Amino acid sequence: MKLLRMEFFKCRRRKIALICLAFVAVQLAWMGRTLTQMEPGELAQGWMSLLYNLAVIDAVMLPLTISALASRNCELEHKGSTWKLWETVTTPQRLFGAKLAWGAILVGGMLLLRTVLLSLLGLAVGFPTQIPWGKLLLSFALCFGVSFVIYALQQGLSLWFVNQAVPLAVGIFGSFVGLFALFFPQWVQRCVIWGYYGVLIQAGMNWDPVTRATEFYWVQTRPLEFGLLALWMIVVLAVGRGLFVRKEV
Amino acid sequence: MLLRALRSEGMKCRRSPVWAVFLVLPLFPAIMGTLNYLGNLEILDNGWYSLWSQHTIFSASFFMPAQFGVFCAWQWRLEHTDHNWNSLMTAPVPVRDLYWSKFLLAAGVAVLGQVCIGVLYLLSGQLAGVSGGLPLQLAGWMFFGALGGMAVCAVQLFLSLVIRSFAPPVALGLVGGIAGLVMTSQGAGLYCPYSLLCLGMRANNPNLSLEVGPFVLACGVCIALFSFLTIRCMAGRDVTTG
Repeated sequence: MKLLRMEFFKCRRRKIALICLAFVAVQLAWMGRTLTQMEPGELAQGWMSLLYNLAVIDAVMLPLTISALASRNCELEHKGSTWKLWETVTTPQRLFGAKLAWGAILVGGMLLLRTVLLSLLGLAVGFPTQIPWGKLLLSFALCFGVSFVIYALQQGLSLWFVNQAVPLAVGIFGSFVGLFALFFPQWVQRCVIWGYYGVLIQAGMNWDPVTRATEFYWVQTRPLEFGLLALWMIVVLAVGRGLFVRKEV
Repeated sequence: MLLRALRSEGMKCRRSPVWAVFLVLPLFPAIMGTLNYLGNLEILDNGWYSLWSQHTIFSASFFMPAQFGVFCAWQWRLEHTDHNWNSLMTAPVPVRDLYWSKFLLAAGVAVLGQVCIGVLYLLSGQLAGVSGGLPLQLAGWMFFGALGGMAVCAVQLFLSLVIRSFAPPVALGLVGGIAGLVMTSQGAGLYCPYSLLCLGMRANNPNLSLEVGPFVLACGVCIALFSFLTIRCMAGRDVTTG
């Protein structure tokens, strides 16, 4: 807890909340534009449409936003050459854990705020169906799970490389892959962690090329997909933590 | 003096692989765009033109502004770290030359990015067996794309000078790209610097048309405005080192 408090104090004046708020504002603006342009007949499927579009936007925006957050949280240690200082007061394992927990709080808070505001947006637009609380909560939890694994990956990179161009380039690459993976079969999406926003999507879409009509439907997430995400989490955490612990300070 | 400043910028860049971002990252939209093209041949029936739309559909809007953001942030990062601002600002070089040398290097990278996209496009087309002759307009798409990229670089250089951290300007590049997409869809692309890249490359543009005069004017105004702001900021603000 002390280390976590230290992370808070280190980042207090670094305007990290601004990155989170900018992310939420852009998503709200994007979704607001999408939802307000819906035809009255489409509103019945509004919640499904919201969750479907949200997964697409997340695949574009979250990898790069998360890489920026992780870079912001880690670059100050490189700038201040504080590694020796930290490793005399605590172990690298605990430091890695504290940074990860701080990142999880930031990402979790950002996604929770986004979910609440988008739910309010859905109510304001006037979807005629009841709020699917279960699906919204599950969608938030799964998005957080994927984002947490990506944050762990980015933190590992930001701690390893002094030059933050490398982790940010990986973030851009992740956004690329996350978006393009949505156009490929699910087995392709499962091969890259950034594709899991699509793998764990809660709503699907059928598009009829003849009538050009779209129809949304709810998707049940299978245990296999949870298992694969857990596997990714274990691998990413083990590799990132292992590399950081062995890093020469 | 400008040439010497440019040469020193080149020397700073020589041992850093940051420019490799522009060589490696375009591979992915090229591969995925080509696969997407091959998977939807019944809809995408306009040969080379359809292939170009698939190569540029997302990269011009979302990813290239962030890539330029990485390069521009890296350029200023060299000066923000250690005590390099003191060395830079006490060098007997006019501030405007210091800026223009960085801008010209970024502009070179914008051209390099377009050349990479163009070469990958031609290679992908050959491998995918796209029928019909090569589009003669390709050079124009790349030229105006590079011009739009330079406008984005001018904005990103300003942001990376003002914001002393590496990550936020890159994230703003992504946000700008999204804002640019929205502005383009509203028909107001010429008023947003981030839309200029999209407009120049004719991404998300089924007619592949461009009003050259207003586009060049918008790029010129954007580059002049943000260059003026950056030079003014460099010359008028006390340096912060460390």
